[in-house]
Amino acid sequence: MNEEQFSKLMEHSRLKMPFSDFEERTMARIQREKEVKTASHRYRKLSWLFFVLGAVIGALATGLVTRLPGMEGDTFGLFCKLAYVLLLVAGLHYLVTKTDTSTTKP
Amino acid sequence: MDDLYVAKVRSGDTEAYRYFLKKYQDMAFSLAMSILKDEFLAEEAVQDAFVKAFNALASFSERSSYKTWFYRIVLNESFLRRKKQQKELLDFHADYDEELVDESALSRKSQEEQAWLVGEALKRLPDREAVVLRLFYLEEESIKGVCEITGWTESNVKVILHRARKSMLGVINKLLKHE
Repeated sequence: MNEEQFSKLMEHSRLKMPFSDFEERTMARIQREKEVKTASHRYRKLSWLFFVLGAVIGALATGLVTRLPGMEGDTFGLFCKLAYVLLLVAGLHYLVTKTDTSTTKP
Repeated sequence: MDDLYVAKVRSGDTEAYRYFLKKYQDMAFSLAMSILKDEFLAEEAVQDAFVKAFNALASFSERSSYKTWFYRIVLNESFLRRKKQQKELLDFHADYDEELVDESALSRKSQEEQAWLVGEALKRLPDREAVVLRLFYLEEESIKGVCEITGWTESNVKVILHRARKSMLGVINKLLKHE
Protein backbone atom coordinates (compact mmCIF):
# COMPACT_ATOMS: atom_id res chain seq x y z
CA MET A 1 0.00 0.00 0.00
CA ASN A 2 1.53 3.29 -1.04
CA GLU A 3 1.70 6.51 0.97
CA GLU A 4 -1.23 8.13 -0.84
CA GLN A 5 -3.54 5.16 -0.30
CA PHE A 6 -2.54 4.96 3.34
CA SER A 7 -3.15 8.67 3.79
CA LYS A 8 -6.60 8.27 2.23
CA LEU A 9 -7.33 5.36 4.54
CA MET A 10 -6.26 7.38 7.57
CA GLU A 11 -8.87 10.02 6.72
CA HIS A 12 -11.36 7.58 8.24
CA SER A 13 -9.67 7.89 11.62
CA ARG A 14 -11.01 11.39 12.25
CA LEU A 15 -13.34 11.15 15.23
CA LYS A 16 -16.16 13.50 16.15
CA MET A 17 -16.83 14.48 19.73
CA PRO A 18 -19.73 12.10 20.53
CA PHE A 19 -21.19 14.27 23.32
CA SER A 20 -23.36 17.00 21.83
CA ASP A 21 -23.46 19.03 25.04
CA PHE A 22 -19.68 19.02 25.46
CA GLU A 23 -19.28 22.65 24.41
CA GLU A 24 -21.98 23.92 26.77
CA ARG A 25 -20.73 21.89 29.73
CA THR A 26 -17.15 23.02 29.20
CA MET A 27 -18.14 26.69 28.88
CA ALA A 28 -20.27 26.41 32.04
CA ARG A 29 -17.32 24.89 33.93
CA ILE A 30 -15.00 27.64 32.70
CA GLN A 31 -17.48 30.33 33.81
CA ARG A 32 -17.90 28.66 37.21
CA GLU A 33 -14.15 28.39 37.79
CA LYS A 34 -13.67 31.99 36.70
CA GLU A 35 -16.26 33.17 39.25
CA VAL A 36 -14.60 31.15 42.02
CA LYS A 37 -11.20 32.57 41.05
CA THR A 38 -12.52 36.15 41.11
CA ALA A 39 -14.19 35.62 44.49
CA SER A 40 -11.10 34.02 46.03
CA HIS A 41 -8.97 36.90 44.74
CA ARG A 42 -11.32 39.38 46.45
CA TYR A 43 -11.24 37.42 49.73
CA ARG A 44 -7.47 37.22 49.57
CA LYS A 45 -7.22 40.99 49.35
CA LEU A 46 -9.64 41.36 52.26
CA SER A 47 -7.62 38.87 54.33
CA TRP A 48 -4.49 40.99 53.91
CA LEU A 49 -6.38 44.16 54.80
CA PHE A 50 -7.76 42.66 58.00
CA PHE A 51 -4.39 41.18 58.85
CA VAL A 52 -2.72 44.61 58.67
CA LEU A 53 -5.57 46.13 60.70
CA GLY A 54 -5.26 43.36 63.28
CA ALA A 55 -1.49 43.83 63.48
CA VAL A 56 -1.84 47.56 64.13
CA ILE A 57 -4.60 47.12 66.71
CA GLY A 58 -2.65 44.26 68.33
CA ALA A 59 0.48 46.42 68.61
CA LEU A 60 -1.52 49.26 70.20
CA ALA A 61 -3.30 46.88 72.57
CA THR A 62 -0.01 45.24 73.61
CA GLY A 63 1.45 48.67 74.39
CA LEU A 64 -1.63 49.84 76.27
CA VAL A 65 -2.29 46.72 78.33
CA THR A 66 1.06 46.98 80.13
CA ARG A 67 0.25 50.54 81.17
CA LEU A 68 -3.06 49.66 82.81
CA PRO A 69 -3.07 49.91 86.64
CA GLY A 70 -2.22 46.56 88.24
CA MET A 71 -0.79 45.18 84.95
CA GLU A 72 2.70 46.61 85.23
CA GLY A 73 5.72 44.34 85.37
CA ASP A 74 8.39 43.13 82.98
CA THR A 75 7.21 39.51 82.93
CA PHE A 76 3.63 40.36 81.98
CA GLY A 77 4.79 42.86 79.30
CA LEU A 78 7.16 40.28 77.85
CA PHE A 79 4.42 37.64 77.82
CA CYS A 80 2.06 40.01 75.94
CA LYS A 81 4.71 40.91 73.37
CA LEU A 82 5.63 37.25 72.86
CA ALA A 83 1.99 36.29 72.34
CA TYR A 84 1.57 39.16 69.87
CA VAL A 85 4.65 38.17 67.85
CA LEU A 86 3.61 34.51 67.79
CA LEU A 87 0.12 35.38 66.56
CA LEU A 88 1.58 37.76 63.98
CA VAL A 89 3.97 35.13 62.61
CA ALA A 90 1.26 32.44 62.57
CA GLY A 91 -1.15 34.77 60.73
CA LEU A 92 1.51 35.82 58.26
CA HIS A 93 2.51 32.21 57.56
CA TYR A 94 -1.12 31.23 56.99
CA LEU A 95 -1.73 34.11 54.61
CA VAL A 96 1.47 33.58 52.63
CA THR A 97 0.83 29.85 52.16
CA LYS A 98 -2.83 30.44 51.24
CA THR A 99 -1.92 33.15 48.75
CA ASP A 100 0.70 30.91 47.24
CA THR A 101 -1.60 27.89 46.77
CA SER A 102 -4.52 29.97 45.55
CA THR A 103 -2.41 31.50 42.79
CA THR A 104 -1.06 28.18 41.59
CA LYS A 105 -4.26 26.18 42.00
CA PRO A 106 -7.21 28.34 41.05
CA MET B 1 -7.27 33.80 13.44
CA ASP B 2 -6.29 31.96 16.63
CA ASP B 3 -4.18 34.92 17.76
CA LEU B 4 -7.16 37.23 17.45
CA TYR B 5 -9.28 35.02 19.71
CA VAL B 6 -6.41 34.55 22.17
CA ALA B 7 -6.28 38.34 22.50
CA LYS B 8 -10.08 38.51 22.91
CA VAL B 9 -10.09 35.91 25.70
CA ARG B 10 -7.14 37.61 27.38
CA SER B 11 -9.03 40.90 27.37
CA GLY B 12 -11.80 39.25 29.38
CA ASP B 13 -14.21 38.00 26.70
CA THR B 14 -14.80 34.47 28.05
CA GLU B 15 -17.42 33.69 25.38
CA ALA B 16 -14.72 34.08 22.71
CA TYR B 17 -13.20 30.85 24.02
CA ARG B 18 -16.07 29.01 22.35
CA TYR B 19 -14.18 29.48 19.08
CA PHE B 20 -11.39 27.18 20.32
CA LEU B 21 -13.90 24.62 21.57
CA LYS B 22 -15.62 24.47 18.19
CA LYS B 23 -12.37 24.33 16.26
CA TYR B 24 -10.31 21.87 18.28
CA GLN B 25 -12.70 19.58 20.15
CA ASP B 26 -12.82 16.86 17.47
CA MET B 27 -9.07 16.59 16.93
CA ALA B 28 -8.44 16.85 20.69
CA PHE B 29 -10.92 14.01 21.20
CA SER B 30 -9.20 11.94 18.48
CA LEU B 31 -5.84 12.43 20.18
CA ALA B 32 -7.19 11.60 23.63
CA MET B 33 -8.85 8.48 22.21
CA SER B 34 -5.50 7.40 20.77
CA ILE B 35 -4.15 7.23 24.30
CA LEU B 36 -7.12 6.39 26.51
CA LYS B 37 -9.14 4.18 24.12
CA ASP B 38 -12.31 5.04 26.01
CA GLU B 39 -14.84 7.69 24.98
CA PHE B 40 -15.74 8.83 28.51
CA LEU B 41 -12.16 9.07 29.72
CA ALA B 42 -11.16 10.86 26.54
CA GLU B 43 -14.00 13.36 26.95
CA GLU B 44 -12.93 14.09 30.54
CA ALA B 45 -9.31 14.56 29.48
CA VAL B 46 -10.30 16.92 26.66
CA GLN B 47 -12.53 18.97 28.97
CA ASP B 48 -9.73 19.26 31.55
CA ALA B 49 -7.34 20.28 28.79
CA PHE B 50 -9.69 23.04 27.60
CA VAL B 51 -10.14 24.36 31.15
CA LYS B 52 -6.38 24.24 31.83
CA ALA B 53 -5.65 26.00 28.55
CA PHE B 54 -8.18 28.70 29.43
CA ASN B 55 -6.64 29.27 32.87
CA ALA B 56 -3.12 29.29 31.45
CA LEU B 57 -3.89 31.51 28.46
CA ALA B 58 -2.33 34.49 30.23
CA SER B 59 0.99 32.66 30.33
CA PHE B 60 0.76 31.46 26.70
CA SER B 61 3.94 32.89 25.20
CA GLU B 62 2.97 32.67 21.49
CA ARG B 63 6.39 31.20 20.72
CA SER B 64 4.45 28.26 19.28
CA SER B 65 1.00 28.31 17.73
CA TYR B 66 -2.08 27.94 19.92
CA LYS B 67 -2.76 24.59 18.21
CA THR B 68 0.66 23.13 19.10
CA TRP B 69 0.42 24.44 22.66
CA PHE B 70 -3.12 23.13 23.15
CA TYR B 71 -2.46 19.68 21.66
CA ARG B 72 0.50 19.36 24.02
CA ILE B 73 -1.85 20.02 26.95
CA VAL B 74 -4.29 17.40 25.60
CA LEU B 75 -1.52 14.81 25.32
CA ASN B 76 -0.16 15.57 28.79
CA GLU B 77 -3.63 15.37 30.27
CA SER B 78 -4.36 12.08 28.52
CA PHE B 79 -1.06 10.45 29.50
CA LEU B 80 -1.55 11.65 33.08
CA ARG B 81 -5.08 10.23 33.19
CA ARG B 82 -3.92 6.94 31.76
CA LYS B 83 -1.20 6.73 34.38
CA LYS B 84 -3.70 7.56 37.14
CA GLN B 85 -6.21 5.00 36.00
CA GLN B 86 -3.46 2.41 35.77
CA LYS B 87 -5.70 0.67 33.36
CA GLU B 88 -4.06 -2.23 31.73
CA LEU B 89 -4.42 -1.54 28.09
CA LEU B 90 -3.18 -4.38 26.01
CA ASP B 91 -0.68 -3.21 23.49
CA PHE B 92 -0.71 -4.75 20.12
CA HIS B 93 2.26 -7.01 19.51
CA ALA B 94 3.91 -6.85 16.17
CA ASP B 95 3.14 -10.30 14.81
CA TYR B 96 2.12 -8.84 11.51
CA ASP B 97 3.28 -8.85 7.98
CA GLU B 98 2.58 -5.76 5.96
CA GLU B 99 2.92 -7.62 2.68
CA LEU B 100 -0.09 -9.73 3.49
CA VAL B 101 -2.53 -6.82 3.44
CA ASP B 102 -5.24 -7.70 0.99
CA GLU B 103 -5.76 -4.36 -0.71
CA SER B 104 -8.51 -5.60 -2.99
CA ALA B 105 -10.48 -6.90 0.01
CA LEU B 106 -10.03 -3.53 1.67
CA SER B 107 -11.13 -1.57 -1.37
CA ARG B 108 -14.25 -3.72 -1.69
CA LYS B 109 -15.39 -2.51 1.71
CA SER B 110 -17.81 0.39 1.99
CA GLN B 111 -16.69 3.72 3.43
CA GLU B 112 -18.40 2.89 6.74
CA GLU B 113 -16.70 -0.50 6.94
CA GLN B 114 -13.34 1.05 6.16
CA ALA B 115 -13.93 3.69 8.86
CA TRP B 116 -14.78 0.95 11.35
CA LEU B 117 -11.64 -1.03 10.42
CA VAL B 118 -9.41 2.03 10.80
CA GLY B 119 -11.03 2.99 14.10
CA GLU B 120 -10.73 -0.52 15.47
CA ALA B 121 -7.11 -0.79 14.33
CA LEU B 122 -6.21 2.50 16.02
CA LYS B 123 -7.80 1.29 19.25
CA ARG B 124 -5.50 -1.73 19.21
CA LEU B 125 -2.37 0.24 18.41
CA PRO B 126 -0.03 1.42 21.23
CA ASP B 127 -0.90 4.97 22.30
CA ARG B 128 2.23 6.63 20.90
CA GLU B 129 1.77 5.06 17.48
CA ALA B 130 -1.88 6.07 17.29
CA VAL B 131 -1.01 9.65 18.34
CA VAL B 132 1.73 10.02 15.73
CA LEU B 133 -0.45 8.57 12.97
CA ARG B 134 -3.32 10.94 13.73
CA LEU B 135 -1.08 14.00 13.99
CA PHE B 136 0.84 13.17 10.83
CA TYR B 137 -2.02 12.12 8.59
CA LEU B 138 -5.03 13.98 9.96
CA GLU B 139 -3.48 17.26 11.05
CA GLU B 140 -0.92 16.98 8.25
CA GLU B 141 1.78 17.96 10.68
CA SER B 142 5.39 17.69 9.57
CA ILE B 143 7.79 15.49 11.55
CA LYS B 144 9.04 18.70 13.19
CA GLY B 145 5.47 19.69 14.05
CA VAL B 146 4.81 16.28 15.62
CA CYS B 147 8.02 16.68 17.66
CA GLU B 148 6.90 20.10 18.93
CA ILE B 149 3.53 18.78 20.03
CA THR B 150 4.70 15.54 21.59
CA GLY B 151 8.07 16.65 22.91
CA TRP B 152 9.70 13.54 21.45
CA THR B 153 12.90 13.62 19.41
CA GLU B 154 12.85 13.66 15.61
CA SER B 155 14.46 10.25 15.27
CA ASN B 156 12.02 8.82 17.80
CA VAL B 157 9.02 10.22 15.91
CA LYS B 158 10.36 8.83 12.63
CA VAL B 159 10.78 5.37 14.14
CA ILE B 160 7.34 5.46 15.77
CA LEU B 161 5.73 6.63 12.52
CA HIS B 162 7.37 3.88 10.50
CA ARG B 163 6.41 1.26 13.08
CA ALA B 164 2.90 2.68 13.40
CA ARG B 165 2.27 2.47 9.67
CA LYS B 166 3.31 -1.19 9.64
CA SER B 167 1.33 -1.98 12.81
CA MET B 168 -1.75 -0.30 11.39
CA LEU B 169 -1.66 -2.35 8.20
CA GLY B 170 -0.94 -5.45 10.23
CA VAL B 171 -3.97 -4.96 12.44
CA ILE B 172 -6.21 -4.16 9.46
CA ASN B 173 -4.98 -7.32 7.80
CA LYS B 174 -5.76 -9.32 10.93
CA LEU B 175 -9.23 -7.81 11.17
CA LEU B 176 -9.91 -8.57 7.51
CA LYS B 177 -8.85 -12.17 8.01
CA HIS B 178 -11.01 -12.68 11.07
CA GLU B 179 -14.17 -11.38 9.47
